[in-house]
Amino acid sequence: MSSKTILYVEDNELNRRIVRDLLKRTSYRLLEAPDGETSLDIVRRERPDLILMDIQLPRLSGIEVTRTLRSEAITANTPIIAITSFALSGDEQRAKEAGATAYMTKPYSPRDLLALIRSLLPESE
Amino acid sequence: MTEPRWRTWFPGFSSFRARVFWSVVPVVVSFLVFQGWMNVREHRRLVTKEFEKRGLALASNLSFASELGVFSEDARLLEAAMRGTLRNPDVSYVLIHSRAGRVLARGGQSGTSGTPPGDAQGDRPSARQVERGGQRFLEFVSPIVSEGSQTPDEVLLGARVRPKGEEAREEVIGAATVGLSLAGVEAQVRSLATLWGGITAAFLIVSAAVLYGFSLGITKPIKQLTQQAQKIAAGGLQQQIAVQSRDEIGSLAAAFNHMTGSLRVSMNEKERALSELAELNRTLEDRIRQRTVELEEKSRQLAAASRHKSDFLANVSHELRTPMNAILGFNEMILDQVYGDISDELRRPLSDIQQSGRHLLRLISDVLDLSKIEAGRMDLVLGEYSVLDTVTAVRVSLASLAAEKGLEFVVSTPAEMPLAYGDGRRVTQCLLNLAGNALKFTRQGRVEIAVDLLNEMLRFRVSDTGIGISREQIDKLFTEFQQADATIAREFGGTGLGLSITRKFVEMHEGRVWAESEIGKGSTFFFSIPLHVKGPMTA
Repeated sequence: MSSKTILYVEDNELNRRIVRDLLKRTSYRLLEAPDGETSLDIVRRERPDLILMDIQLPRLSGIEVTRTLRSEAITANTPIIAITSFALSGDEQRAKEAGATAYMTKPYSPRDLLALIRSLLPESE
Repeated sequence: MTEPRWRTWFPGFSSFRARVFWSVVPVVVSFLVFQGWMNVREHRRLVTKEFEKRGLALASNLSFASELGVFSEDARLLEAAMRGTLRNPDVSYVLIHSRAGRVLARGGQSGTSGTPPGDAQGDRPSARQVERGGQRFLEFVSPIVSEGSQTPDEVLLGARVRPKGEEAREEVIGAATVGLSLAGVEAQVRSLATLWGGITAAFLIVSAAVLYGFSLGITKPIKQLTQQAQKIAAGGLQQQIAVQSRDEIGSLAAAFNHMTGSLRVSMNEKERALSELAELNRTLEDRIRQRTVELEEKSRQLAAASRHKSDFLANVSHELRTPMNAILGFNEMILDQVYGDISDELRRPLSDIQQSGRHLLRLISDVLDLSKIEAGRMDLVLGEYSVLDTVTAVRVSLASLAAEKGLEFVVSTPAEMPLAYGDGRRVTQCLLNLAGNALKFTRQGRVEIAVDLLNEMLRFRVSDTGIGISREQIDKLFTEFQQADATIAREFGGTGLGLSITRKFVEMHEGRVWAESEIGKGSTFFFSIPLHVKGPMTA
């Protein structure tokens, strides 16, 4: 049984650790990227099954990375969960337009996030 | 005023002078002509009458003188008789006929072949006009009468030897004809007519000259006035009319000069006022320009400040959320025993941390929202949204709170509803605020959320069985930072911003929010907004 791979793109170490701790007890394999450019390298190399994409990233924004991923054949259908900071700023709308599958508003409940991940990517068959 | 047509046909009639001239001259001329004609006619009558008298006398004398000649048919006697008559310069010819009409003698103008006087055979002299050889003559015929059976002795002695009382026997024995030429008369008449013509013409010339001079005296100052008025109309206010006459024209000119003077004064004043105005305008424009520049600069500074503030708020929002995410995230995972089992004693304070953290988060959001609204930078994100989804989202997010407090939480909506147009997220936030408050201020009982559609207006209703609010407090409710009671804030928490924000968002949707309440029995909050919002609205 091969475990499914999740890539978390987030520049804040603390937030990355939340997801890291959250997924520790699951069968998911977690990859982390601190910025957009790194995430694109990892995606091409590792081909993750699901991507958690923070929208507020230094330099290349999560919106742009999402758009790029959607334009590439290997990630055209990969589920992408956008994590937005501004609950009411229209970021979700932009994320959806860029091709995100779902979104979570920061601060999110780890419990809810795990439930969302499981609904999009069942842990194992 | 348009010129009458006849004036355009006779332009000479349009000037005042011409009108005076043409109204006087024909009268004078016709009077003179009539008078002349009458004079000539009368004169001719008198002369002719005189002429006739003389002619008759001549003819009568001749007939008397030629009685013996005719009687004796002696040409020499007749010629002697005619000689005296012919000496008269008016006499053109003389004829003496016998009783039978035969010419016994003739004299004067040659070529006059006299015709025998037809009906002049009577015993009275007569006059007639005849034409002979293209000339007109006045012809007088006088019968030659013989006094009966005069004996040659009687004739020779010239004495009347007839006894008294004896009627003389008279007998016409011939006719004497005297032709007077009418040329003299006609020449006289002609010269008289010529004289009258000359008088008429002279009179005409003199009167025309007088009229011309007179009218010139009137029209010249008028013409001057006219030219003056034209010059003034063209702006030449320095002009003065030389006042020469003391009549009405003169006083008109004086009045005109006075008016020009007044005009000059008022024009000067006007020009001075205009130049002052222009000066004022210029300085005003300068000041406005300067002030505009200042204001633009201020506006730029303000816009920059506002942008900085907005950016700052966005950053603060982001920066606050990152640590909040960590605090709430880790705490929740501890509570969810991701890191291992936790004791019941620990669960209580950890839950408090979680609740306080969420409260803090809401406060931050509210403050940020309100400051955005106040800065006028809050825009609605318009789009289609499902009203039923909105209600469901509110129910889902508040279900756990209701459950915790043991409150009945009911949602009643129509089975189906058309899609609405507006900012769905803000509408959700409003409903969340009202329902959250209802749950917060209700210790026991129930909270109900309902929505219905009436005349294209959506009406949301949140009712509770809570503590209720007094009428005076309701009025203050929707003002910022106002809660019904300060002590309530302590007991129930909350910023008091929720209702203000709700009101702003509802108003941005062109809707309204209101409440009904009774102390101790609970409250009902309403807001209604159009199903379809018209355009983008800014707070």
